[in-house]
Amino acid sequence: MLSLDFLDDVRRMNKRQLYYQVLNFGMIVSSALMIWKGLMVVTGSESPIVVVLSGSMEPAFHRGDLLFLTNRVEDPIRVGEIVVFRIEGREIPIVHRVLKIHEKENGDIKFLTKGDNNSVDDRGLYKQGQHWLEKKDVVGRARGFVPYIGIVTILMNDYPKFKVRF
Amino acid sequence: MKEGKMAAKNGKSGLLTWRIDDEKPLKIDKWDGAAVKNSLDDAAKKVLLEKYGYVENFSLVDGRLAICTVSCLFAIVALVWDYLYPFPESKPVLALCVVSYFIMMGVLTFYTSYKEKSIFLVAVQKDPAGMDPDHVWQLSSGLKRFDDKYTLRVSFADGKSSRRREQEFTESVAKFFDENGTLVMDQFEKRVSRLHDTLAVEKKSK
Repeated sequence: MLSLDFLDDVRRMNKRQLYYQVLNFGMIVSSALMIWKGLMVVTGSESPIVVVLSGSMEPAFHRGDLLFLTNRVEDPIRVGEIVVFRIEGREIPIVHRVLKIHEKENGDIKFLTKGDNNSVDDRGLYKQGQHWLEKKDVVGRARGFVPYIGIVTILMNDYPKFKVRF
Repeated sequence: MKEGKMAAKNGKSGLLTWRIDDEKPLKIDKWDGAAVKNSLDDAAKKVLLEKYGYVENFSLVDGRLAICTVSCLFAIVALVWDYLYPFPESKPVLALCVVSYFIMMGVLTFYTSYKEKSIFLVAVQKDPAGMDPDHVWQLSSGLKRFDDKYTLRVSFADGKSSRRREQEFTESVAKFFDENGTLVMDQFEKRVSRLHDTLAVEKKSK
């Protein structure tokens, strides 16, 4: 006879205790969520923390580094800064340095990027017919980083088996 | 082991509506402090509710549940809003939800520290004549980490005079559990009843 002690525990709990356990779990998830959303609001970026996925920015950043981004309207993008951007239609963000900027009087900019470790600029990566990036493609500007911590995310992406096991 | 079972059988003789024998005797890991405290708390609850027939009042627990529910609601609203209206437009709503959430966290901490404290049971003793307002019994307990001394506090608030009286006992948990971690209900019930009756007698004598 299988005596499932765990089910006994649940049966012994009344409605309120069960609800409280569910709430407890919900609170943990909510706290993580609220911290993430809070970071989004404070930095102004839709993804305030990203992991560097390729080696195109060596020796500055290596695969697996964690980057902190901000995307505030008051800080204009300048040549030489490292930006994280998304190309229209692709969801993977790219971390490269700004090479050239064309700026209009009203503040609109078009800029070109290149990875430090690449031999050519990013025009080959942009969409068909797109030669410049605009502000709307920017996820944020790199403000600080923590080395190596992001390796876990890369492992989970490269070896989906690990993800499934969990 | 044998003593535990015999003690449980003896418990049946004294009380008519004692239900503990119907269920499996409570067995927990005797080294797990949280489980020990929980089972002692549950047993104390049983004594007050079943032996003395008080009615449990849930308003304290409901308060805490309500605060948690509201907090989760803020989080859900933030999630849904951000999904429907992608990021830059949702900023003000998100900011509002995040701030509200952390305010609710503060309220919750305040509530559990000051209002709830370590109270795990609020029970109401209804006046048999139905005329006077009910008396309120409160149980709170404490068991320090890695310590074996369990403190049970009973507080009685007279319905009419609103006077509060408190009594407590501190015993080693070894007194109420046998070697396997089974709760010896008989021993514990005796101790709790003694504590309760002390308070009840003092109430009457006033």
